Amino acid sequence: MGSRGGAVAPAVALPRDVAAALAAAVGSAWLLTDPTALHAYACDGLTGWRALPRAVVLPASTDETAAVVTILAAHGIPFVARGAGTGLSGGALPVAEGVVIGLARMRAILRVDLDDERVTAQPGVTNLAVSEAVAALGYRYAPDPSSRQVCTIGGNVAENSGGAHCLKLGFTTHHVVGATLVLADGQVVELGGTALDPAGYDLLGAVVGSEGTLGIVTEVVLRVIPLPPAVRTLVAAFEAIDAAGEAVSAIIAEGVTPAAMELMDRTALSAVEAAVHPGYPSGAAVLLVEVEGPDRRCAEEAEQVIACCRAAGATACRIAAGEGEAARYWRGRRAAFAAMGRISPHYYVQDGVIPRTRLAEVLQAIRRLEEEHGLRVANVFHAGDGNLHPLVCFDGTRPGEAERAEEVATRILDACLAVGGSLTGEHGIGRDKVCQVPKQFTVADQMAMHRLRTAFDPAGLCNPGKLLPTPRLCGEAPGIYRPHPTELRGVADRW
Amino acid sequence: MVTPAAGVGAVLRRAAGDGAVRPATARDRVAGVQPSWVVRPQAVEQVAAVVQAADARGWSVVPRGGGGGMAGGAAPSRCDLVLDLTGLDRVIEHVPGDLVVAVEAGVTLAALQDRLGPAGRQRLMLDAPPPPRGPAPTLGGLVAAAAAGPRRHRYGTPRDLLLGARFVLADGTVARTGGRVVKNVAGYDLCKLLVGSRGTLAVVVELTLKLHPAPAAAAMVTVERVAAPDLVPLVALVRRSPAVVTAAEALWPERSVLLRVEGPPRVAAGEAALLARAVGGRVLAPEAGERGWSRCLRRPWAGRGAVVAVAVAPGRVGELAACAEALACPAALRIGLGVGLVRTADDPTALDRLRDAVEAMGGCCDPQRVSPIGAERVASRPPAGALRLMAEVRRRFDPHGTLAPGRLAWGGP
Repeated sequence: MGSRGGAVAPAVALPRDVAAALAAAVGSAWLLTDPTALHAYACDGLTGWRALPRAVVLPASTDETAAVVTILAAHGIPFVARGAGTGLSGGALPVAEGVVIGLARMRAILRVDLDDERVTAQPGVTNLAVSEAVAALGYRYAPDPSSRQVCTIGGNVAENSGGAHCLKLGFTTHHVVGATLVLADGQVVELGGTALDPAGYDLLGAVVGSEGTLGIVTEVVLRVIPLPPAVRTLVAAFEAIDAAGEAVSAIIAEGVTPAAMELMDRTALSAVEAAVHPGYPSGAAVLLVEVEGPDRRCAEEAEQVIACCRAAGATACRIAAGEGEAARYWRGRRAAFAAMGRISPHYYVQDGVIPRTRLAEVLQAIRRLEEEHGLRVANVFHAGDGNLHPLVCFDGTRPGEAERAEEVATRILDACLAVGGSLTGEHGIGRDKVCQVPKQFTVADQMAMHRLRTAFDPAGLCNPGKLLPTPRLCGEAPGIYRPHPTELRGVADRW
Repeated sequence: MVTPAAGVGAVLRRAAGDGAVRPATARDRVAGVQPSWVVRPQAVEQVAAVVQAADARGWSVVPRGGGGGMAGGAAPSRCDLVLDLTGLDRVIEHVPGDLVVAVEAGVTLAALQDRLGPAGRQRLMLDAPPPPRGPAPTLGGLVAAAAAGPRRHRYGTPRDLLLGARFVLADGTVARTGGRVVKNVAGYDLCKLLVGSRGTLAVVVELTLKLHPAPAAAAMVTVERVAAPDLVPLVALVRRSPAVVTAAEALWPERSVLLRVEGPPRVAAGEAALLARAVGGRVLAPEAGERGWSRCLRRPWAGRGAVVAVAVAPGRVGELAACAEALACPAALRIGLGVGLVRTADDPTALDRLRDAVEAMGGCCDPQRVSPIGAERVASRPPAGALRLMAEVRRRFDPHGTLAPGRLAWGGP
């Protein structure tokens, strides 16, 4: 099921007839079985978890994907779909006894229709490529994860990806209107399409964010929206991060919904300044705010934001003078994760959500954890929607430090949950957090989710071991396969 | 059907309390089908106990909110109890700084807005669909029906506003999905599945909803005498205009388009003026604007006949208007989205004609206020593969078909 650290289990070869059938389905050049080639697929962006699949198959179409899945299903071989592999929760971690289905060859934009405000794309198209395809026509694809240059639409659909601008514009789920889905038995179903409100249950809504456990999306119809008439990008510096948090609350209370509100603390800023020189005003925390809309509304909102920042004690406020300056400010934010290498040999990226009114107390809890464990935590977050990305810094060459960092990261999540938050705002549960799911969801909650999963994939072949815990993965504690007490009561009930 | 025997009443009273159970009357009919009992629990645990007791005995349960949707729609194949959820009427928590509210399913939209009004200048951005003199719609009912009004243009539907839910499955299990934060990807998003499922997958008992800042002012722009083929070019102008438009409705057969701009007073007025210039329309004076807005909200519910929700590719909204015109059906079309409401005679010929015309455009029809026979007639079906999957989802959530069996006009199980 994949293991921690560098140890890679040797692949178990596919039965010869299965390999032959797969090669016939996609062409032998697109079936990879050589261990050296397989190593490139052993992990996704969460590199601590690795497993070597038995093979990697690279189909070029919906039909080929369906053919591949049909063959695997007939032999009971589990499979994991993979986009660009930039995910941070191990959602594309291979199953050692299974096959990886890579969608990198399916990277065509099939249709652009701006009367409909739709783009139809194959799953391997990158997020940015969708926006680029319509930019000259005055449109964009709204979700903008920081990895948008490389991450794919298929992966975005699987993870319900967000990004800095989802505060105002919503997540992937708000921008996907149709999909072609290859089910775990190889059947192909169409969910939704160009029009809104398709007949029947909103299965598409359940598929978005299902982390590749309900099927493989091989074609997506996306909603694109007009570029805003005007944009203002502002930065404000604060002497304390709590003051920046107050500014965020004040902006929301003022009735302004910025397109984005991003917060970075001193540790994150020192790394970012060293790496990409964004030229932020100096302070213990920097708030990056973007408002967009019609010009005059935009100007008014920018003034309201500045007033809120000053009232909360901002030491400096700047509006970017032009696109160049705005791009520089954004480069600083987008580079934040990568820049951490400047100040720490290793770091653990956490992703948790809190109600934004509880920011101050959660930041305090994070500071206490830093002190208790003697590790630094850099804070980078989507402050507007309460999505925290604490980066726990550590030196993996020092014995025990990696474990302590993981402990801190886990306890930060506990602090998020304690105030009514969530285990993940955009990275997903994947393999990384699967054993923590019971902290947020009761057995009954998990059973309800399990009902959905088994409706789509009764044999459990589609990305097994992700999203929902099993006793095999996590020990007996979560126990979602145990019958629920109400089931046991079913015959001899109280009435 | 269960005979209204004393033994059944006793079981229900044990589950929901003495005062919560009464024999059903003719007014409790669901699409013409007479239930035996009405149960009105006051607590989630009572809902769970009732549903579990019914499921164990093979009694079917039709959940009911305000009741506005009960007369029409597909007739239930069985209807032993109506589960009246208006007793679950608490606002559980409103955190203004988080723009989030948690409510029980029986809270009415009007009661919630009243509650939000003074406190935090916030609103649930869902326009109540009339009937104007009908019962007040509950939030649970609006979610079950995926109902939305003209401001869907900007704020979406319950699908976009529902952050989390607590629900009772047919076997009595009480579970939650989603959460109380605006951004959350932990676990499957069962909210999406519950929205529009008309009580057939679970009984939704609590909702956590996303709020928006209440706009301080609104201005209305009108464009008169619009020809159907001009609608798509008009939408393009609206999209490119420097105004935040929250509703864009074409009212047919008047051939008038009403656009709503919301924001701070000076901003809304300024943008409305720019918008009017861009689209060749005019800004309505405040009273005329209010009249126009209330016409948008009422249309096409006011008047007799069947009301059908239609959806086509947004680029075909001009064809949709032409179709409404050809069929002589009053319509309110959300022109930016390709959706709308059409009123037609509630007879098989008229409904067939409407469905055939909409489906010929690649679109779908969903009955909103249609007689039981007409509802099944006019409802578009999902493609075969998707329908099989939907049936399987239903079977996993409600294996005995206890919850609102037969109520899905689109041919759901």
